[in-house]
Amino acid sequence: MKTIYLSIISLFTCFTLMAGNGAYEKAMQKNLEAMAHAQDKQAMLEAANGFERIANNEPEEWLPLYYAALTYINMSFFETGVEAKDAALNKASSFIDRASFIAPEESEIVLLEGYQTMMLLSADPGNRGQSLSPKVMQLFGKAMQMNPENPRAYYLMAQMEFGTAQFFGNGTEKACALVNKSLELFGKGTSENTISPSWGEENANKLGQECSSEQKQ
Amino acid sequence: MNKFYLLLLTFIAFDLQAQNSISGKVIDPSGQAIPGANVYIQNTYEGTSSLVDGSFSFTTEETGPQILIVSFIGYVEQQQVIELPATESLIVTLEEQFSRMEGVTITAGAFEASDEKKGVLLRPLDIATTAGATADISGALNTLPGTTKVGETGRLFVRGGEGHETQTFIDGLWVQNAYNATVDNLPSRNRFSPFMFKGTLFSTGGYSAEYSQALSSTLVLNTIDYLTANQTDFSIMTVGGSIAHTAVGDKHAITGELGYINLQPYFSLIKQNDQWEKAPQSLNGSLVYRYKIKKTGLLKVYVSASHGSLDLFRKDSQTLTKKLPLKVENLYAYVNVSYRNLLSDKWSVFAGMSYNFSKDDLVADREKIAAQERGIHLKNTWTYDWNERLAIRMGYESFIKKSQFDVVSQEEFNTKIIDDVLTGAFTEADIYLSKKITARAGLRVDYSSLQGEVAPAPRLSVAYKTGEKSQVSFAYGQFAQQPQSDWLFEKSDLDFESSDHYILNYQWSSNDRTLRGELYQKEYNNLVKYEGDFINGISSLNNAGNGYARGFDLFWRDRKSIKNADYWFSYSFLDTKRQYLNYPKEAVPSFASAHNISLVYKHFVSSLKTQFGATVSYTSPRPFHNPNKKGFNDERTQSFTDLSINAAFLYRQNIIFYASATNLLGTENIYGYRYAKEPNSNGNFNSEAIQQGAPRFLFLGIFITLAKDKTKNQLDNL
Repeated sequence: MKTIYLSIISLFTCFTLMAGNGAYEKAMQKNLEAMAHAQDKQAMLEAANGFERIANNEPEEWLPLYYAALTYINMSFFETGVEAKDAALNKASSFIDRASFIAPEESEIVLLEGYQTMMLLSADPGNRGQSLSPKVMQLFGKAMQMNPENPRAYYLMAQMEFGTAQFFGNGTEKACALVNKSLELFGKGTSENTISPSWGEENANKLGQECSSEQKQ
Repeated sequence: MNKFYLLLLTFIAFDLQAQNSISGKVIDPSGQAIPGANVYIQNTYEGTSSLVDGSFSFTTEETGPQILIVSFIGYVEQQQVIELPATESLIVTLEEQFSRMEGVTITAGAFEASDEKKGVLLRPLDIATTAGATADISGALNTLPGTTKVGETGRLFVRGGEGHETQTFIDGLWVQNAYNATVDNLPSRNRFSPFMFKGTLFSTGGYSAEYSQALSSTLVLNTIDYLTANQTDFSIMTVGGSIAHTAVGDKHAITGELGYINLQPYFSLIKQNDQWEKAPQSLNGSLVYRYKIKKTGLLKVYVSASHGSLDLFRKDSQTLTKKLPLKVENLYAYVNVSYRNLLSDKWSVFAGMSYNFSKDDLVADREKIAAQERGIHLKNTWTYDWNERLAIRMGYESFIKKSQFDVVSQEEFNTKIIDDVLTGAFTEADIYLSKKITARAGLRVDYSSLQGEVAPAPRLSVAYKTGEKSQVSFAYGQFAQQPQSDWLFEKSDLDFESSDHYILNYQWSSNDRTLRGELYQKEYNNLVKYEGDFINGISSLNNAGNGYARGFDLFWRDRKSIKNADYWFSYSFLDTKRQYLNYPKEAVPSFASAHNISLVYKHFVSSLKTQFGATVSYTSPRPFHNPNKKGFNDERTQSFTDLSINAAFLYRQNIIFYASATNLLGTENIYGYRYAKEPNSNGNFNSEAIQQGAPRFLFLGIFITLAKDKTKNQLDNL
């Protein structure tokens, strides 16, 4: 009888423990999946709102704010017109500000701010190119300095170099070198934490293919 | 054993908690659905987003009384107490939240060029790339409506006002000598490069109570806040060269620049109308420093110094028969220090100081003249952000001026000195009554210790949004300005000159097109009047002069219709007369012209990586006074026309080739006539046409930027 009671009690504690700690990770996983599978604005809004709810409940965590911002940045791709893009990117900016207040030394947040600025630039390149370009490069450079092993930093820098090379008709060697470095770092594998940032490999591969097809020519 | 299974069942039951569902709809006060709103239970992760039709539905494990939160950007967050399990569908109504960003901005009498604000008509780069201006700020602003082209001076003349009626401010602080030193009828340039500034606010009247001492308009320039990259800039031009270096740290940033201009090589290649002994040359240096204080504060320092000289031959002003040397040597220094910071959620402060020093040594008509001007401007303003709907600004400032004028001629030595302290205080409120109406009301008081006079000046402007893309705004203001030094030297207790402005403006703008029309009426009072002239002597100085200026402006900008092209068209109509200075009767002043038209066109050809630009300007005939005939200012010059072109070739991201030609067709434009001060042997006064320095002005330049590449180290490891 004693053993039965013991096992029942341990089972019960198991259940309560699971209900406790896992909630944050579970909610994050759920929203990360929603963000990855979102194909339209409504779906993205739901994922972003989900991250916002988690952020409201976890004032010490920067990740929910980070992903909310990332979702809005991705949403700006789907918007047409400068005003609509700006609206989504400004919303992203407010989340980035909150995140950097919690974790000012986090390189992923600095990188994300550079990404958001790059998207602002691409919304109206003729008018914003000159003023925003140095800010983007400065933020990417700073993030790279903070964490030289971050594959996303090389991927985003490559994306920026591709854009300028296209505009000025220069070669893409520099951009391709950056893409290759980012793919190398992606290949090294992600950290054990399944909710820390790990995106970008798919797009980096696409850029890499463009590079190798150019080399073949 | 039964008891055991019962116990197990209860434990399992604990885990299978009840799922309660919540559903409803999110709408705005008019009943329209709000999609994408965040609907959730406070202190949980549980919630969802409203769908396109505003409906929402989700399940939760919570029970009992809970707080449901519904939020969406642009609306006030709603909190509602609900009882779970919920028995009925919820209807949540969200009220719009007022945001200043969506309010209407006052456009009457204001042209803003900014990289940061929405809905601006110009960007700083537009100023730098306008053909015919050769990157001179005043030159580019002269293509906007409200300005009258007075080519022989190179300055801004706004809506029937003289050149000195437009004053320049950098970061809110006064610039006493904004134009480089020159002599009569030799155009000068604005001393500052357009690339220094992130924003330019050019007012054509009705400007804020924060500024004073400008009867017609203000040019408010705001320097770039943050220098972002370590870089070295070179420029090599047909007129000289410059080098600048920027070093950026985490909190500090500093830029140093050195430049040298010498027109001698250019003058030896291209024939000039004047006879030059020594072409204009100048050596200038500047320093820009930024210090970021914590998250919200910024200290800006700008120091500039230059030394310039020129030497040419001009016919003497007495008889216009002999050529005499005309020499100018100028030493100039300007310091501008400003500090601003957010003190709390609602309070922000600005404090600044500018120091202006200018010394001119001239030799003209066998007289030696030394003119020295020194000024300090101290300013302190406080801004209180009451809420989204009201912001109040108040400030206090002081101008300490000292001017000295020495003349050494064959007969005598003469010195005149002015010492004055001008103080001013102002308060102004920005009121955002609704999304459609914004108002600004202010009061300013100025006092001059030299004149011993107090001048109050109320200002009021209102903007009303008439449609989604259009608005109407109105501005009224009283403006006071101290008489020019020339008159204060003779009589120091003259009153302030004053003008009253009434402006009505209509503006329609979509993302890529803008239409703007403005009607204005200006009344001038207390203008300086005197009898006599400078040769025989001035007497009876008083403030009995008056005048008026009225008209309308039209502006159309289109960046959409022609692919890769951007053009703007501006037309100004001016009707003005004055009875001031030593005018024998009310007359049209010689700097005024009834019609001013500009067409500015820019086109980027991507295959050539070049931006081409062209500007066509027309100014209708200007009056001039011919002493050989009866009447006053009754004669008219011919009209002025100019076609200028430029091209900027982006050879690489950091190398730009630039070429421009002003007055390409070589049209002979005459601005007016100079007449001798005494008649010749026939009893007539000799005359000389006031023309451009040369038929055309050609310019070539290369601009190179070398930046420290942050990715270089990373790539080396590959």
